[in-house]
Amino acid sequence: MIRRFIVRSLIFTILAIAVVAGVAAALSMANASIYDMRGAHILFLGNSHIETAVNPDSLGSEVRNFARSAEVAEYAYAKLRLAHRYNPALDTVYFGLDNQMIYHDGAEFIQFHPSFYSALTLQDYAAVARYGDFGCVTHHLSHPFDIGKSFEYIMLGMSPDWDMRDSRSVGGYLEIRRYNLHKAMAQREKDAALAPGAGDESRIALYFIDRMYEYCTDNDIALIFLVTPQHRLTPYDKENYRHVMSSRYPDVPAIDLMDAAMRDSCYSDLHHLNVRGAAAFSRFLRDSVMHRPLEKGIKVYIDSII
Amino acid sequence: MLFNSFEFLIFLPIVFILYWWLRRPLMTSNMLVLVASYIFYGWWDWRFLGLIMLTTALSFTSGVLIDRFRRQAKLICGLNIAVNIGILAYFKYCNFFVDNLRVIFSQFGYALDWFTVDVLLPVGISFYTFQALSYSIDVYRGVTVPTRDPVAFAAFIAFFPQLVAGPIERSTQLLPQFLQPRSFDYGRAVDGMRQILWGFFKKLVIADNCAMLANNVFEHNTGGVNSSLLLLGALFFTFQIYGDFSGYSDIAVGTAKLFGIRLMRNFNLPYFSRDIAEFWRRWHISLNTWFTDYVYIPLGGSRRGRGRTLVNIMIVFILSGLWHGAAWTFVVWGLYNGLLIVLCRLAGIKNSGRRLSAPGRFFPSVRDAGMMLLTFILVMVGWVIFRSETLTMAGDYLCGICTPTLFAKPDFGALNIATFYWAPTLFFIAVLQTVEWCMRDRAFGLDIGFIQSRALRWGIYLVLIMVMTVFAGTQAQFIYFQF
Repeated sequence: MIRRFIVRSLIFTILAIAVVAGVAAALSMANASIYDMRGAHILFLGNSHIETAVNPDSLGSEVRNFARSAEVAEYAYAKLRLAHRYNPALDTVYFGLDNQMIYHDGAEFIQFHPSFYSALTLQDYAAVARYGDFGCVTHHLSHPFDIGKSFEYIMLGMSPDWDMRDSRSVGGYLEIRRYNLHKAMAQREKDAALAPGAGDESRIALYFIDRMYEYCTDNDIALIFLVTPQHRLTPYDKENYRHVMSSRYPDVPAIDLMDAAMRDSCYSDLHHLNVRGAAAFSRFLRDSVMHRPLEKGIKVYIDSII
Repeated sequence: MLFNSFEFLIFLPIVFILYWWLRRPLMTSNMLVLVASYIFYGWWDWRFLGLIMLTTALSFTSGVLIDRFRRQAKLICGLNIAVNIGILAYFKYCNFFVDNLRVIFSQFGYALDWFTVDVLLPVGISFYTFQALSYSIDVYRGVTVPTRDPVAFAAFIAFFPQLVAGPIERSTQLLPQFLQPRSFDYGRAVDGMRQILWGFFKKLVIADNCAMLANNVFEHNTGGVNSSLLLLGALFFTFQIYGDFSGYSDIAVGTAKLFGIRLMRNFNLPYFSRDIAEFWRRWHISLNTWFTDYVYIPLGGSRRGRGRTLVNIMIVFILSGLWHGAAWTFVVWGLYNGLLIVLCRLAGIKNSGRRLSAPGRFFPSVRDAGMMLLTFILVMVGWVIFRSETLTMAGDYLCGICTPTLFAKPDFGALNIATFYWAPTLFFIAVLQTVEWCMRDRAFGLDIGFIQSRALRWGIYLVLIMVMTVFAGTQAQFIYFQF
């Protein structure tokens, strides 16, 4: 009896895996162009700070923002490679390098699109193994085969207007309308006694930022570090990422707006711009930053936007 | 270890195969259950294994001593209860007690800032402590024969499917199953697999998606969120807690069936109850019967007049609230439920039958449907208190619902909630309720063993698995672990 149970369970498991994987593959692969890179040659990558601050619609059709909340460097690197694969004309990448990025070495709640696997090389997998961060690679296995987004592919087929932002697992501009700054400020006042979050940089984060740098250098893509405006009460220790930017990547130009505190009405909280802030910041990028080429290695620290 | 983790996916088949391979002698089988259970629990934090072992040793010893020294039985049983409750109180209520002490002293101008404690709450401590207590009380009452088999007893306390979130089993029901050889029953094992699948559906599709939405609404309940959205937030939490906890119970009961063990039913379609007392007979049944048997009845139950009965009800519900957590919100939640039951009693509302509404028919009567809706709304109000971090927040939330915007379109855009998230969640809540209503005479929603066609049965399983993989939410932790 027990043998029959085990055999039937195995048969059912294999059948279930085959069906689920088959449907997943069909749905995922059917939508091969998860990156709409047509005509784009400027790419913004980073975490939620970039995601909520850069509205590509106001920057022109040649710009894409693929930043995503809680992004880690390995994903940003994979996106860069895939985006470049889809559109070899890509020539400029703005990457949000701040404390969050260099300390954050776990992708605990990010969906990892299956196609990202193909973007990593054997050398990258070896590094992942070496630094013990397999969680970022295997994370989605907790929900078998990561087809959790397949529903959106179906919906997209039915309605071209369907929001594909999340389904692609690549991020995109996130418009924040809520206003929680007063709450965040009150919390910050309460936590004022706490030391700002400093610590050792994540080795795996630095490895993948190195890899982005190498990739851009090898493919003639201009890499520029971009730090979005943060509220004056933001508890970051700026020296950390600035030290990494200048000592580890002396050749990479950087535009650092950490000190360019905007009006309170531009923030959703201490770290993220709201829709109003994003509009102002994107305008600033378009008018004052993107049209003039940055010299190699120059670090621009801007302390005022409006 | 979480049921919905990759580790458990590996752990369960290994333990299952070893268990049936080493099923003779009984001692080996029980030992395997015990080791597996300790691994399961220790995966979270092995240091707290010592607490389970201590609780097990205390209760086992007290059982033996009560049996041997009948004259001092009351003293021994009392000591065991005091020590176990003491451990529970320390780990669960110490922070709460100190915080409140500090507030009280600060009212009189004394600052107790130097007096700080930060006690980590061991997962499932309330569940296994109550299970252990029931054993020694049952031995004291002569309901259970004390066991001399420490391994079987330890397996009874630590049986991994129900260790961290119940059902809270009784010694009369579960312990005897560890004292006799188990044999594999194909039908029961398949039934267990179905129940596990149904539990995962409730957890991954209903609870985890509701969690994302409810968390979002509850976190932003004060700035510019309209009433209809607040109402939906409460609805999402209502189904989150149901999907989460009853899903866990289904997985636990189903897993136990794989090992030839029967666990009690912990949820019996609570949201179809016609009054609040019926709701509490259908929600977290194992805890409520525990309180009935070990608190309500010893206090006199309903035998000492109407007034005393109502007081006893209030005591039980306040304790039940405190059992859920060390916070005033839980106390008030217990008080609220107790008051509702008292009011029901005073108004003479009583749907005492165990059967659900509409036996032999599909639709309930209009009266029953109205009562179900009213009970559901009252329960939902209770869940808002339960979910809120403070009483002020609960009050704000409930007041926020009662504005003219209650009839406006829910403004999901204010919280950046895409249609993709809320529309399927509402749809699957409707599916869950419909399926459970249709299957109300069976043990659980996916109890479809009566369907003759295997192809159809397997097709239903596959559809369910597809739905889970497509729509699974991202919240991993079970709510009731914290209790």
